[in-house]
Amino acid sequence: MFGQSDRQIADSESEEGSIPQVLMLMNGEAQRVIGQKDSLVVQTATAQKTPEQQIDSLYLSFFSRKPKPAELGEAVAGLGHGMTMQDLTWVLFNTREFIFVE
Amino acid sequence: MNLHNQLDPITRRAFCERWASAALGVTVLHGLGGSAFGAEAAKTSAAPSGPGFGKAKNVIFLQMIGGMSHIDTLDPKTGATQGPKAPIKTKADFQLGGTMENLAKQADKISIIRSMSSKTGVHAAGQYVIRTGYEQRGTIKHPNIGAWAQHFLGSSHKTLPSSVCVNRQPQNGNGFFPSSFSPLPILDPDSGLQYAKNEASPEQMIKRLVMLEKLDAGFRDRFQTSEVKSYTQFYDKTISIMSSTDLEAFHLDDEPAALKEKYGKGKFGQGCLLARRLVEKGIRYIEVAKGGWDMQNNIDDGLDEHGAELDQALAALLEDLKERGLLASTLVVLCSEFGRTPKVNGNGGRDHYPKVFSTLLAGGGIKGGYIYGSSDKEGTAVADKQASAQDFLSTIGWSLGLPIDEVVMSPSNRPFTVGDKGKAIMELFA
Repeated sequence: MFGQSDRQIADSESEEGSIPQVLMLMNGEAQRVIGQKDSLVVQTATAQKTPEQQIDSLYLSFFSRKPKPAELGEAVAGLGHGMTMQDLTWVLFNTREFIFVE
Repeated sequence: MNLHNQLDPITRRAFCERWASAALGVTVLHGLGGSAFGAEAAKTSAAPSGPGFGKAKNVIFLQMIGGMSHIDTLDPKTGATQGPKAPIKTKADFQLGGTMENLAKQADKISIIRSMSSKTGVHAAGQYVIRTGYEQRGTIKHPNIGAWAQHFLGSSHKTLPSSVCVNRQPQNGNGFFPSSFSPLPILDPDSGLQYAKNEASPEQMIKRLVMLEKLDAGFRDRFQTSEVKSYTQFYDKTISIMSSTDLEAFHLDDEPAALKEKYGKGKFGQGCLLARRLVEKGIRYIEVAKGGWDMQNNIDDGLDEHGAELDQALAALLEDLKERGLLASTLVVLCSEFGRTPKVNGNGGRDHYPKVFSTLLAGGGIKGGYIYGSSDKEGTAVADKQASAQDFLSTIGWSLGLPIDEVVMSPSNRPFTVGDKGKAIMELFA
């Protein structure tokens, strides 16, 4: 999955083609479900009072950790510049951290 | 901004910028011919020359999975070897197997190698050799011709992949080359490329990508493993695909119903039609796979189904390419991992037979109505001009204008060439 190499083979960069997988992550069904207004992730986050708390909530949902100060700053600024919860769930869903760790 | 001139490698940031400009229509990115890159690259290297060299700009590689009976298709015999159907006359001065009724009418466009021979009678191993020219090894994966071409000629399209595989998984088509050379798999031609479009507006999408870039940077920098890098390559390519204005290449529904019918409504027929659409959009290398050839039992029924499907699709493809003026620059090849026994077995089928079998080539500078080599009267052995998978692949590479003698070192410093030192068969070229 996800372009991971077959560890048995030194000269092989990737196994199966990951472009369809990435398309699915970006535009697929899971994305639609998670980004919906009544999804658990979005509901939990929007229930928080301040933008900072909302980002905290999203990070806890996705990564089981709080955002670092820089991350919090960027995400809050994003919310202030017209990004929606749906946009941010899309972003976090597509981070390498989520795909490779979670 | 010089990023229009560089496709591989390209930075993530440049991708975002390019996506942004494409989506917002700030600059015209897609009007430039994709194949121009290849042509320039070919000119700069000290490439060999000769008949047919570089005639093919595109290759459609039709791989019959399971071991196609050469006797019932491309190298018909009479007598005890014959099989269920008698040989038929064609538009050229040779015969074809009785199932190949449509192909017979296009025989003036094809060359057949009737003297192919291979050492392996095992499916997976044979498929690997005919696709890469190398035997399977536990320590390395070898590239297909599409990846070799991308290495030597660069990308063939600005936003779409240079290689696509239809009805099959990519199966390490990139080999030891970067994973971005891997063919894009289309497992069902009718469905095309799934999830290629996002519901978000271009402005929204740009904001997301910029944010993703920011939030992701820390993780990417900390974990520079080959997995993350490889994923990042696919990720960049995916964004490029999403921004492409040529995505309709994957929409078979845009084809007239009558033409879809003409190719045959099965996955192989529609796969061949898709291949033609992709060629038109500048995708260099398209593999279309078709299974069902392992006819150990009742070859009669097998041929009625799978032989007829191949016959219809291949004939329609050749005719269609010719009518559109694409056949001269598109090499169509048909191959299988081995042939099948001259003797029909007790179950009315034929068994694996690598000792002699046939492949077909058309377009891309290949002679029409030509037979290279032969098998003996019963189809048991090569009678004349034995050819190998390596020769077959070298011929394809030659047609594409690849320097087939040039040694390329893999990341672990082992030497490889297109078609593993096979000889391009010059007699096949007009």
